[in-house]
Amino acid sequence: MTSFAKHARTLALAAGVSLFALSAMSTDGMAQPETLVIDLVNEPSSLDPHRQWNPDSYYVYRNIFDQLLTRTDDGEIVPNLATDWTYADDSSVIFTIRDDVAFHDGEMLTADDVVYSIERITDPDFASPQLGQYNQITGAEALSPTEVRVTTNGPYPALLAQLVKLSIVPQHYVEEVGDDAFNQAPVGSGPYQFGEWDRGVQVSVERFDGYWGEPGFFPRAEFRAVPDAATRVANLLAGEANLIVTIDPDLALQLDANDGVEPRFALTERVGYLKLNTQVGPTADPRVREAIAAAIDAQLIIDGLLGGFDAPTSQMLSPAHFGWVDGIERDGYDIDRARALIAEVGDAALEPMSFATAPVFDQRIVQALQQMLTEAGFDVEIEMTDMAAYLARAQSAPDQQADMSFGRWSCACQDADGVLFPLLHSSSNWSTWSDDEMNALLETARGTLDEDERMGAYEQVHNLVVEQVPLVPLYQAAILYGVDSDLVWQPTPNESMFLNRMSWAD
Amino acid sequence: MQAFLIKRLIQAVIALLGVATLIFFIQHLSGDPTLLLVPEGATQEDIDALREALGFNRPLIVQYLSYMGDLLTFDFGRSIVQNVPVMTIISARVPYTLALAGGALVVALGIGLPLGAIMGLKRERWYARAAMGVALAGQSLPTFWSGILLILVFGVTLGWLPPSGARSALSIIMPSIALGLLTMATFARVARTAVLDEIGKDYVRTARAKGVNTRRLFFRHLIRNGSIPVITVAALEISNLLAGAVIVETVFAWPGLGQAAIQAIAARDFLVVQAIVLLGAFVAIGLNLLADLLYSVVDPRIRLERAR
Repeated sequence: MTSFAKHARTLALAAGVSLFALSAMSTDGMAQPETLVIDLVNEPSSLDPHRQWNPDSYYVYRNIFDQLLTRTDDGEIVPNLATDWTYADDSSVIFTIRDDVAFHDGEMLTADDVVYSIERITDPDFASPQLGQYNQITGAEALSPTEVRVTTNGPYPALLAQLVKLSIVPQHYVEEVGDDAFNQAPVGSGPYQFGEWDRGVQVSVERFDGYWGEPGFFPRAEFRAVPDAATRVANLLAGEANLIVTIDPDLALQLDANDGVEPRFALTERVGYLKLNTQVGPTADPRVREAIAAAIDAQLIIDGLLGGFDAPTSQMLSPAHFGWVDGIERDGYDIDRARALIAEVGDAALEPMSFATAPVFDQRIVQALQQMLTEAGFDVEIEMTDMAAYLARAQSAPDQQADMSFGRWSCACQDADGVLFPLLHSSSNWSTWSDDEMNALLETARGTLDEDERMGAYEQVHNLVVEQVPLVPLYQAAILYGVDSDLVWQPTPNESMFLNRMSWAD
Repeated sequence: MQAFLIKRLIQAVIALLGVATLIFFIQHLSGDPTLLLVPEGATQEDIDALREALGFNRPLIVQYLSYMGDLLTFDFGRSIVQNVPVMTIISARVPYTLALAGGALVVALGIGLPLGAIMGLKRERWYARAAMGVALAGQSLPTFWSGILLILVFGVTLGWLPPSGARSALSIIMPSIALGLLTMATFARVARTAVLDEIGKDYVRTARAKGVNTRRLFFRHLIRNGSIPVITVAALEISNLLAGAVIVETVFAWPGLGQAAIQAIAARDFLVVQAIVLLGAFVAIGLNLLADLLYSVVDPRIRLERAR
């Protein structure tokens, strides 16, 4: 047979098979694929769960690893690797660890692995960027193969919320292969085991059949790096991806107009807010701060720019946080009141004010805020820098800081302590607010395990924020995903993406 | 020849050291990446501790000398964001960048040169004028727009090609076209000018008087004599293809160096940015050297020894 004939035959065969496949598709409907394809923005920075905490990384590695505790889709903290926990005293908790958990290499998970994981992430020499989340933990010790005592620097009410994110790594494996090899080919105890990392292209994971808990539905999943949102949407429309992250409201509407795909969203624990400089400039005057709050129509921003997905809030928290108090209200949008306050203050209120922002934030919101403030009579100038410079400025001395800055705060812990203490306590590098009453309330709420006492303190904190306006809470941010309509999955406030909570609809 | 090479080599090393110095200081002037790594609400002590662990608390000049010292031993350091050697990141991306640049060059040369030749040889004809319009249109379309249009038409509506990514051999077609169209117009215009220049020369008139037909004239003489400007432009354009690939790589989720550079810049992953910039400078210098060498191959009248 000549080579041409061979090729021709191969081609014909291929054409025949494709035609067959096409006809099969049109009659039976498309078979649901066994591999779930998820389009992320970037590839994970690291798969070692003790290194980076950013969505593109933890979307992947939280499926490979287990944590002591987890949150249900409703946000409740429930047992995971730890079946039970009791407070030995105010600053130490004893966790009972499951005895039936195997790592992907077959070794059993013990209390020693838990201790090792806690010591690893809190070791200053390891230099984990996440250290700040666990710096209240002073020690961990194995009492038996299934019992671990975790001690903290005094009573630490947010401990359980923080441990939800601390992945347990296998001591024997990490010590054997070293940190580098572990990062590139991690072994955990989660419902999925690491498959392959095709750098820049995708990371694949495979269902772990020896998993102790709820097994995954999909035998395999692929996380791909697709930086452009429009391209992610095209992939979803073409059926090349089943779930895509981070789309804007316009793209969400575009998905709504197509069959077989849909946008899904969750209100996250991220709160959009305007931070005011309470020490220097016009905003040092409480009447100016009040006028700024009155000049902003948060609902208009939500409806006009954010597609109506986000929710307005009067406190610097979301209902997904411990510390959220129902019924906190601030006076709404009232431009006449804003103008009256400005007139009362006089010329000092009309001085130019700087408004710091960074490209990662939605600039339409920043411009809308500027417009609203200008409408009330203020002179506001937007100052854009890159994110690192923005953050550095947000933590500098008050006279270096902008008069106001837009931000979206997330402590990734769903506890008020991770939001209000850094933003409002005078000792914090993130705060310009200095008020003894506020300090005392924040310290009380941080220093007790009594939930009622904490809630009482936070209610007063919220009321002080409404009265004194060190910052203006604007809205609880929504996160938008695009999904194949047949995918059963509910996005959560903590932006988790657990594969063993997903499946195809029947 | 040898003296020429040695001289150019020394120049290249100086240029690379200059580029390394420049990119180092430009990046470090705007602060360090520590704040991008820590969670919101991190205390000053935590931030300081991480800064020290990463070495960003050292005086700038110490950091610079340490960086240059590593560089001289070809140690490009580690990515502080991804915690892997910079070379691991770069070497994973280079094949994709080369493949895309190659694909784009095939599109650019394959369409641009014949188009340019036709525009030069048949400049009075209507189709030559139309070709010029096509070339200009190709250059004027911004890639972020033409790219997404290609994806929607061929990836989504028709379903002929994978919409993005690099999972199959077909994936390279659309990014190559999107990137190649930009350069195609440049090649077309250079080829047209080169053909017009040559066609007015005495040897062409003589050849025509002897009865040599246009086809033979073109393939035997014009191509070789007209190739000097094309080679010069090609050397520049290949550097441009590597740089212009940033947008195309982002739109098509093509895992090349441009995409890696953007991510590294956003994360202030200094050593990765520095390595990519150095690589770009190295390629640009290398290609220019190659172009100089090629001149003497296609045109023996050019003597490299006398090059200044």
